[in-house]
Amino acid sequence: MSVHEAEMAFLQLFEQLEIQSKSSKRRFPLLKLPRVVLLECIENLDIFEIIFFSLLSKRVKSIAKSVCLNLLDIHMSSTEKGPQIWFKLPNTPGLDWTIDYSTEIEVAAYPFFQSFFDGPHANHFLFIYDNGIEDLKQMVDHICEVFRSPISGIYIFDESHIEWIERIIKFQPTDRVWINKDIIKSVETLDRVFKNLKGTKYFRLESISIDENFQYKEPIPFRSITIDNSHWVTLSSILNGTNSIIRLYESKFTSKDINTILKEWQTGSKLRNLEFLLIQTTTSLDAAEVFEELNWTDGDEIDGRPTTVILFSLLSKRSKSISKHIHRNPLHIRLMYCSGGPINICLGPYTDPERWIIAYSNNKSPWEYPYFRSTLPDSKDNNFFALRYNRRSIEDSKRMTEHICEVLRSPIRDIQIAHQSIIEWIIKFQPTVRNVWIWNNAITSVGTLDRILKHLKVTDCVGFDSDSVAIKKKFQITEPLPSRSISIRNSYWLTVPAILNGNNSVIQLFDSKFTSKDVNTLLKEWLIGSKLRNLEYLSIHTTTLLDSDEVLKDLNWTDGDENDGRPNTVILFSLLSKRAKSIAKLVHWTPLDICLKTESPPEIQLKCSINPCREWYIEFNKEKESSEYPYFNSYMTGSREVNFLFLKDNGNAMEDLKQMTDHIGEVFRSPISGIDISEESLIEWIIKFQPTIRKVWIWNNVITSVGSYFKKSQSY
Amino acid sequence: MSSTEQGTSSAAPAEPTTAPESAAAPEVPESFYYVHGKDKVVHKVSAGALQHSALIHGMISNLGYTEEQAKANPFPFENIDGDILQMVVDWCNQHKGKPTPPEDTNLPKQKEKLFDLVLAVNYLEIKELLTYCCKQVAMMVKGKSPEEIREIWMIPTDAEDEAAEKEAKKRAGKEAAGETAAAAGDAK
Repeated sequence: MSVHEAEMAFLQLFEQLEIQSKSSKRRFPLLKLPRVVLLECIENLDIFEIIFFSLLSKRVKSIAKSVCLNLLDIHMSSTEKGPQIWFKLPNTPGLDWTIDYSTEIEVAAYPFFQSFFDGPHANHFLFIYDNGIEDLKQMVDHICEVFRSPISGIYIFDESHIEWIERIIKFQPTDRVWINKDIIKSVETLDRVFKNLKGTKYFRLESISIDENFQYKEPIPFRSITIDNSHWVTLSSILNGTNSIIRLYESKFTSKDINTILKEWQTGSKLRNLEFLLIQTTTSLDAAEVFEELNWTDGDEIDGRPTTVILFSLLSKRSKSISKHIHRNPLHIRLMYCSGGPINICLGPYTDPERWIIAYSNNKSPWEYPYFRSTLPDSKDNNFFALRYNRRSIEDSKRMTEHICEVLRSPIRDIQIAHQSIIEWIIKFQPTVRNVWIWNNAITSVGTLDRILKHLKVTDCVGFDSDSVAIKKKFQITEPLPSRSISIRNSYWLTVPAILNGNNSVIQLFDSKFTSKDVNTLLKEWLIGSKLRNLEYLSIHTTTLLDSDEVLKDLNWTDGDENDGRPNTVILFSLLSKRAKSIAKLVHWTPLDICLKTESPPEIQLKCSINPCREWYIEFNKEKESSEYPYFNSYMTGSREVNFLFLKDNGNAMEDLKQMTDHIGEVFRSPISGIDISEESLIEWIIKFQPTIRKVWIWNNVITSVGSYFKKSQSY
Repeated sequence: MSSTEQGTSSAAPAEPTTAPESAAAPEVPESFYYVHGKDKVVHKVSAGALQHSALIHGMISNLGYTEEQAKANPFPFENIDGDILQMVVDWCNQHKGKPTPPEDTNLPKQKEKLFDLVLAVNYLEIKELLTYCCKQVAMMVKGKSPEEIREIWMIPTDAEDEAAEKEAKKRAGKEAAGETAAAAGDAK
């Protein structure tokens, strides 16, 4: 069918009207506009409108073609409801345009438009009644012609497509072709497809319905091939091809065939372009035969490297050196050994540290290893490469990690240790690690623990599981743990001197045997400041019952400063003493945004301009028993981190709030930026305390006289 | 020669009698020009407002009219209807010296008026107003089906285009024959 015939068919479809007989009052003779103006009007149409407009006549089609607008990614595909054409515009990558052919509703309701938002993406739909495959083909032809854009991908779900695609591809190669199952029913058709779709880069063929004994011996001429039910693909077809990516499912290749492919790939005389190979067979493979005579241990400077290497860089010295030449951004490498369980090597950028996972596991049948799996959970790609876990996996994983660190030029950032041998290895390979977690039974001797403490530098956090130190003889350590943060379960072995002499910032101890006196000593030293100078957070869970009086004995919690009579329930460090306050003032804090909410329960809201996602609230309430105050609460809501400090409302909360505000303003050198005034006394206070303020909200019945109105803040 | 000199001297500005007291530059009085459309109704428009029109701005720059000369010689736009010119003048006045907003909702909704406005604006070369008008024209077919677009924009079918083309050729042929016959008659 010619283009003209196609147009005539469309005109019939859209019920060409006798427009000349209608009144001109309601109409706009667009074609009488000067050409430049006419084109500017057309440029203001959206894509669907341009398509509709261009279908109206040959003349307007040629006008529409003058608007230089290229489409991207034109795809013709099919869903359960019917065929689809979808495309994008180059300047709006988050917006898809889809023409959807369906017969779900009455013919008269077509055509109609719908738009959907899906996260940051939007999709505009045009629904057209599905009159059959010819309409779809004509529309694709029409769109390609008007927008002078090639088709990027075609899903062939009807045999009649093949001839049409061949015609299109003759003029403009299409990147992707996907042929539905049982569309190809003869050898001639298959030959024709391979011969005529040569420009195609990505080719996927679902099952064909040709004789079961049919075999194809010629190379398949596409860069990437994915073939389902690929029993008909022969070894020579693969070996003589120039494919870069090969995925064969339900193949009948034997272990010997795969071994031949791997050997040819490794020697490089054939399969020179091959980058990725996946073969899923219907027959059981013999691993020994598959890997027979494969030179997997093509050693380099690290001799004796294990055999189960799979990355390209591991194929040979040459491939390794090629890989090392690529300048990648350093990756976050996390090495996770679980006791008796799988080993995971997680790689990824800082924002997505588990994008690639190399796992040694044994939850599948032996012949299913190695396998790849990629998923897209939450719009992030997650790539999984599984190797079979066996008695050599620990050693293999160490070598693999060394190799990855070398090729990717990235250090191990985190490590979870479940075996003693890992400790020795990490101390030797990379004695400085950011985070370390030690699982149960990993440390079986005092000497090992000593080696960790002395030779493994943990820059951020070290954690010990409950039975990580599996030493029968009860022992204790008095030396500090040299990392910023420590978290220890079953921490009976950690003594008070080990804490007091350390520089830790965060300490979390579980199942501790510290007495009330020990805890009191720690708190006193922390308060005095001669020790525990870096400590920011301390949490101790004891197995013994503590006496709160003894714990808090001699702790100077109410050491007032120039503002005498300040409430007792202050908890901030700066409130602990005059000295603490003056120390706090010496720090150059980023000014805070201080807002006061005086409506019950009164609250001080703090924000920091450089970190707008973190908020702090100091709230005075009386919801709990007095003994429970002060207490903290923090939670995350979306990207916001909200931190609460609850103080007891002793019936004088407003005065407490004023004094706390005064204190915070002084320490952080920040003014109040906003206040809601819920009682008249606050007007006097704010005028005296800070007469210029950015935002003020005054509640009902607060101003009871003309005098108080004129006294209030200037910036009202 | 002498009359030219007299004319020149009479047109020369009088010397200021007193020196300005302050250093601040005196405000330049705004100059006005006059335009009329097909209905001959004259509209007084400031030079600032007329800057929107590249056509009129060019004419003003070249002419260098005084106030009296401008009043005596309004710019005639005989091809523009009076009400359309009034719309254009109003728009120029409203947007005098202001940045133009991305949308203008004050444009006429009646299609025949909009058509005349587009032609006038295009002729007067008022770029921003033309942009608004083109958007307005495009908005007419928002969400419409092909047959509705054809009706709104009066798009002829291919058959109608072919018939019109044939008719035009026939008419051109007749006119050519008539001219030939007339020329032959004249020659006789």
